[in-house]
Amino acid sequence: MNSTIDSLYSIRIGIDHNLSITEVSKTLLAYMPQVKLGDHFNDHFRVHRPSSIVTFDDIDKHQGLLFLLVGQSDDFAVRGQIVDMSPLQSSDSKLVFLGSPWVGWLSTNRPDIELNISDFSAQDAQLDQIFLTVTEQQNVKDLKEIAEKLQIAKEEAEESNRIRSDFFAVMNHEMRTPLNGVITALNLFDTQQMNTHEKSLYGMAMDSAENLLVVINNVLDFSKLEAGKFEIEETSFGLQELLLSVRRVLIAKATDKGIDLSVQNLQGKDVQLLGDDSKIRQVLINLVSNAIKFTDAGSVAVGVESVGESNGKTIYRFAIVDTGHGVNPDIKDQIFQPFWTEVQGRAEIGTGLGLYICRMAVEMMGGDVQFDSTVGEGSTFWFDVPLAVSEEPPEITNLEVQPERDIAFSCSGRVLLVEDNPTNQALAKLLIKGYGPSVDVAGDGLEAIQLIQSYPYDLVLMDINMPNMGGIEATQTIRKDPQFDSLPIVALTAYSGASERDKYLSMGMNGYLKKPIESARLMRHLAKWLPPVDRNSGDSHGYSRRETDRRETDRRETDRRTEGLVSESIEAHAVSTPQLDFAAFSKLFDELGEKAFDPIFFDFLKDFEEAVVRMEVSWAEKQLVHLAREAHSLCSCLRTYGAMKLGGRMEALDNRIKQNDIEGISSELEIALQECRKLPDILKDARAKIST
Amino acid sequence: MYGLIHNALRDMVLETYGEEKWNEILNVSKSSDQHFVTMQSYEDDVSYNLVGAASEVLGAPADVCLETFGYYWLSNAAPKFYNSLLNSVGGNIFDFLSNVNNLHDRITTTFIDYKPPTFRAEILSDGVVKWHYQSSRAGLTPFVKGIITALAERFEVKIDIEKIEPQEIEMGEYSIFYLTISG
Repeated sequence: MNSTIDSLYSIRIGIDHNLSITEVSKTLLAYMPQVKLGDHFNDHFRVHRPSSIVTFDDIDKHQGLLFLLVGQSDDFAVRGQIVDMSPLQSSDSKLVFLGSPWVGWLSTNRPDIELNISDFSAQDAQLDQIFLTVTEQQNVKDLKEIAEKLQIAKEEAEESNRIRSDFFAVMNHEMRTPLNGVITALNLFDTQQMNTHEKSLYGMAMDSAENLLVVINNVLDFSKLEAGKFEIEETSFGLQELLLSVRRVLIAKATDKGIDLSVQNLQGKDVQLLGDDSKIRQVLINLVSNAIKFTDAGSVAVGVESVGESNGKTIYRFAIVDTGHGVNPDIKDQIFQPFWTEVQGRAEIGTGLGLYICRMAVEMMGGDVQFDSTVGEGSTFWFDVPLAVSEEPPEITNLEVQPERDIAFSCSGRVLLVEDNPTNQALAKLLIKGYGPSVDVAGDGLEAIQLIQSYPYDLVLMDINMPNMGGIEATQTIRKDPQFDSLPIVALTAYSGASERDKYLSMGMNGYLKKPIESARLMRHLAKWLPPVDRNSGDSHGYSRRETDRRETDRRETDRRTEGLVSESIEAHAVSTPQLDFAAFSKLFDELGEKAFDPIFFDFLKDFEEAVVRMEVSWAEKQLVHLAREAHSLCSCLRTYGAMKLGGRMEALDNRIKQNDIEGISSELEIALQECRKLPDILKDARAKIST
Repeated sequence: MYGLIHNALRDMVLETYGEEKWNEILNVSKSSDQHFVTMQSYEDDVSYNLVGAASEVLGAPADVCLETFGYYWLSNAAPKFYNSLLNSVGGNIFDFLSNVNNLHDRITTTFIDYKPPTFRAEILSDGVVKWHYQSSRAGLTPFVKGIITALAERFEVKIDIEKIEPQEIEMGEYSIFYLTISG
């Protein structure tokens, strides 16, 4: 019987009425060898549960309950039940404790005791519970380990992203700056003096440099996309101006291949829109450039029309139709993916990023891009973009080249021009007066405030960067006086970034006019704020201006190409320009007339040479604030006279100073000063050329 | 098998050959899991593929890999995961060989999907043991051989494997180890 019981319960303790121990199992004796038959139960054990157990009767009454027994020396502990075995056996035991080692107590109080698996009967679940506890602990440990690994992986990914962003920010400067230097240096060559072989080598060098700039721009745009820094801006732009600008950039390439390139606004009339014109231009130039690349003969036609409405915006479709090779429909799903390139023969064509960047730019503007094609016949690529209509009136731009014509616009009123640079003062004053209003000039913000408080003005054109008090501070001061709440104040700024423009508007200004001042844009602002004068009234202040479409668009083309070399525009791959845009120079001469032009021009030459000396001194003394002021001041003047490249160089220098990029300042300034030394002779030659 | 086994294999490879080799083994095995959860059950194919990949990448026959792993399992992995239970199996080699089946019975109550092998020890004479190993999985006798080598070190005895007698069964594997234990 005992062996049967012992196979079920490894701990067995029998007691009689006197609480004498009458039997005990081998397993218990293995851990409590001091226990002898006949010993008093209480000498060896205390009852942990149930409580208040003292006598045999107490024990007897608690049959069926859980008993927890601990050795009096804390040497062992057991758990089990008390049962009355007397009917079943012939021993003296009246009550028998049946159970097993109490694992919980032992692992806490006597971890030194190593229990054996054979100390438990097969049906005893206590060891299983230990196993369960161990596995749960392992689960928690696993989860902690995974969480730590995830945290490390997350931090590494974030660090990698930051390093990549920093890397490309540095590369942006480090790659473009020397390449700009190469292109600038190449532009300084006098190709007239070259023989045929040298011209061929020169052409190869220039083409390679410009192509490399396109590749760099694509790679950097791609990196911006990946880093989530490709931002969409909203500016006001004319639809027809946009189309024309694309045509200007690519007409030379198309003509070289004997391809007819046409642009058409299928709406019929121009419209001023709100959107990211630089991105739309970028996409158009990319798609049209591809169309030209893959068309050997025939035509490339660009058209735009509205195709629907959505959420208060008009959806404009820009389509490019070519008569080129066509695209295999099998690659329809891949063509807009990154790094997909067309293979011609054994050569891969391009970086494979242009179309991907186009797709991402269009999608970020809320549109989509598609294409349809027939191999051997041609392709049509199109993209739809939702755009809002701007409140500003469209500029007068015609897609068809028209003969010279007269446009007369006159207004009256009193304008305050706030500008510190003498040359800019003189030129701007002349331009404004040409439209009719009277013009007063203030040299800084303080003087402007005094004049405004003394005289009634209809419009203030406020330069931003001036000594003593700048334009923003002056505007905020003026606005504090309620009587000047509605006085129109337009910022004169060399910066074209949306963030800068938004800043001026939020500071209380009513608009902005980019420097150097363009007549057409000036006219829009005058027309907005000043009372018009009837053209037929014979007012002697009426201004008659001949607008030649080709010269106006050529000047803008040069402006944009030049800016592209020092900014992030993809148009940097367009044809390079010489040091002076003669068309712009002669346009200014035409607008002012010889009598007004010459005094200002020769004063400018004198001031310019002095400004260059001041720049050299400022740099030698590391007076960067003074250097920045000189560069900023020269920037718009130079562009006004057609020195676009050098004007762009000054703007770039100003930016480097703002970034405290000492190396960049040094390299930029060195090239700028070289060009500055050549400019006076170039300008004098241009003046002489006009005379002949 | 449970992730416990795969993690032990990973630890063994990492300690001896480094992370690059382990990543290579993962690639060759075409495992979709880069990290194994200790107490999660995986298809047996995962385990077999890992062993096969280890054999290929490390340039050793599969049975050598298994024997090495069996040794590593008992010396390092099992004590790391459940040392107290391992200690409870027996304080000497004979108790251990006799009780190890009991331990596997207990494991089964917790690892519900686990199909453990069964063991049975026949003590033939002083120091001679006929140890029966039977499993529903085929090919793991070398793993058990590695365990025996580790047991000898654990209990500081000398165990000679006189022979391993494979037995014919319908499915899985059944081997009888003839052991002479001294020291």
